[in-house]
Amino acid sequence: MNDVVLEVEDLVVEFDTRPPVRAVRGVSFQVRRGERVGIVGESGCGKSVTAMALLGLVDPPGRIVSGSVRVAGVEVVGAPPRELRRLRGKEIAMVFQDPTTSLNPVFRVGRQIADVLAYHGWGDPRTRAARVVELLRRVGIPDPERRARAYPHELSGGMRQRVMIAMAIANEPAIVVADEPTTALDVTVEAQILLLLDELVERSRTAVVFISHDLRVVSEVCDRVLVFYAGRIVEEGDLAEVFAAPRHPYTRALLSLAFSGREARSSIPGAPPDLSRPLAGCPFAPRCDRRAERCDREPPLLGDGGHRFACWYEEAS
Amino acid sequence: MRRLLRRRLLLLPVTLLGVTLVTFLAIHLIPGDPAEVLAGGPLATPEAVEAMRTRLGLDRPLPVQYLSYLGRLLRGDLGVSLFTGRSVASEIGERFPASLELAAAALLLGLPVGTALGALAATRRDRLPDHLARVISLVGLSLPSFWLALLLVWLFAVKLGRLPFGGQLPPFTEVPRRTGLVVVDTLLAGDPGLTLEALRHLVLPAVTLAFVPIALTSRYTRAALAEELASPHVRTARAFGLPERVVVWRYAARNAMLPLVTLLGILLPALLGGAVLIEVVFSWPGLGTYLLLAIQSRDYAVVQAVTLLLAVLYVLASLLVDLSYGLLDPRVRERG
Ligand SMILES: Nc1ncnc2c1ncn2[C@@H]1O[C@H](COP(=O)(O)OP(=O)(O)OP(=O)(O)O)[C@@H](O)[C@H]1O
Ligand code: SF4
Ligand SMILES: [Mg+2]
Repeated sequence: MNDVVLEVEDLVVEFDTRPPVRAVRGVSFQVRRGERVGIVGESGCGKSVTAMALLGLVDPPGRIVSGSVRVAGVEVVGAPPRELRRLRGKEIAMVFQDPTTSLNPVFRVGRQIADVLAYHGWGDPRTRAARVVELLRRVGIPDPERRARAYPHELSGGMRQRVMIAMAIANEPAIVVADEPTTALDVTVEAQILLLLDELVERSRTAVVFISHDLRVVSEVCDRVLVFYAGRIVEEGDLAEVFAAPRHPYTRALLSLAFSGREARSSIPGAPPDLSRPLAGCPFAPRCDRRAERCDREPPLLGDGGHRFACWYEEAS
Repeated sequence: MRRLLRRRLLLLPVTLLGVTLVTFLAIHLIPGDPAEVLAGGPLATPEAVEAMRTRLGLDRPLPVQYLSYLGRLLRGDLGVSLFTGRSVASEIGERFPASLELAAAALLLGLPVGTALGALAATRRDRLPDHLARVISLVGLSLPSFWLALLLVWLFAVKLGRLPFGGQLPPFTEVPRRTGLVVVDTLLAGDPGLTLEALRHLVLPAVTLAFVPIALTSRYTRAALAEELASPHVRTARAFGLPERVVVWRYAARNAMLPLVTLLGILLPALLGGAVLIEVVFSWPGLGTYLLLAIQSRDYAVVQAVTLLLAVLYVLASLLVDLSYGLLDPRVRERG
């Protein structure tokens, strides 16, 4: 059990807007050392909010209402700022979607990586500079000595994302959370970045939480997958199992869309529920072709075991 | 960066030429006739006015007048005051240091206070510092400066009797003029007691004048810093566990400083020329009182010269702003 590096229990995140939006509605999962876990789901289902909550970094008006997040055994929810700071970038690091805006435009990239080392007490300036060059080389940046002195705008999108990844692995964290790290990049660069993430994990036994709405991408990099819908996990299991035999109608719909071979990005008919309202029954009911009377009354619970899913219909069958 | 520098410097003479054209034309467009004023006012005979017009060269075609104006400017000749008969350049030289001293004091006071206030407001939004900043900037921007001046005089000079007001030094004291900056001159004269007096005389006008930079910088800082603090790269810095003080003061402040530099370029010339009423209230012997007197007495040469000076200062300040932008922002430096 002490192999678990991330443990999320019944996490609830709400935005105090008008009306309040309950974006994450009781999410629980675990991630083990070196494991690669994918989070998939339609836009707005709470993937990014969950990711930020893992760092205890939900910006106002958002707040973690209840639940628990333990990173490397340390509780994040309600932790004092000093403790959070120690975890962030050291035990758990984040790679954001858009490397263009996520790096500071007025500082050299090497300096930004060096700062992440410095504020976690890594070495002295000279050894840090050497470490930065080594990190840049490790993420496949050619001529790293020179590139360390570049400003973000002097690098291509793919290079910038490599810099973000170098920053993420700088302190050899237990977990790297990558929130759609390739969405802003073109397809060939995307493939290179995915390969890079793959190699880094193999080598360092760092766990990766990989967020994407692209199931094909997830199928290439993950061992296990969590399917999010309306702020909840509706299905979870080993990638091969879930992809071969999806149990939740929503997962099935996502998969058939992703692998239908159609180029145009179509979507599942209907829209996800309004997250500012309480949900009485199954959140997927209005869009589900298996919907039964019970589905509107009682929310289906996520079962136990390796392959979990929240659906009345499947449970009965 | 070098290209940026070269382009800006090449553009400078063109801009300056434009400025001279505007001040030249402005004096011809505003109502009133300098020849008439100088010939003795409304009671002067038409012949006398005409004679004066010829003497001043005002009967020549405008382009010719402009060229001779330019020629005089190039020789450093700003004309002669219609009233004192002295060279405007030397009169400006006498009065400029007093204005500079006042403006510098207001900036030295206003910038740090304004930035700190704005930064506090941005990091503690809708809390006490934020409200305080809002009130101060409201006062600074909406209350007429002479009103504020009178208020401060009443409070500190009359009611509390703690500070002097009027002039730069106590009555009947003088200091050998070296730089023209009284605070510096008293120091050079080796009279620290008098320096203290000069500083005490400086406090009220400087504080009054400082309300404008405080108001503007605190607003700018608050807006710019709040925007930076909500930006993705600041989110990154936080997500990587950088201490909040580093996030705010290094990662966000550097970017937020850029608009502040522009503001500085606007402020300095504005403070030099915009202290007219404050200078009058405090009997401050600077450009402001000089300009006001000149306007009242239709002393065209003086009005023209002071306006030109302020405009040139403005142009030079913007040049400095552009260059410092290049130093602060690598993206601008690149584009050159
Ligand atoms: N700052 C905010 N204020 C109010 N509501 C928010 C805010 N940020 C997110 N939300 C709400 O939280 C929900 C989940 O958002 P989240 O960004 O996690 O979605 P996502 O799954 O990452 O989607 P995407 O694929 O588009 O990135 C959204 O439906 C939105 O309504
Ligand atoms: S619980 Fe009912 S409505 Fe929900 S997914 Fe299953 S069958 Fe469909
Ligand atoms: Mg997202």
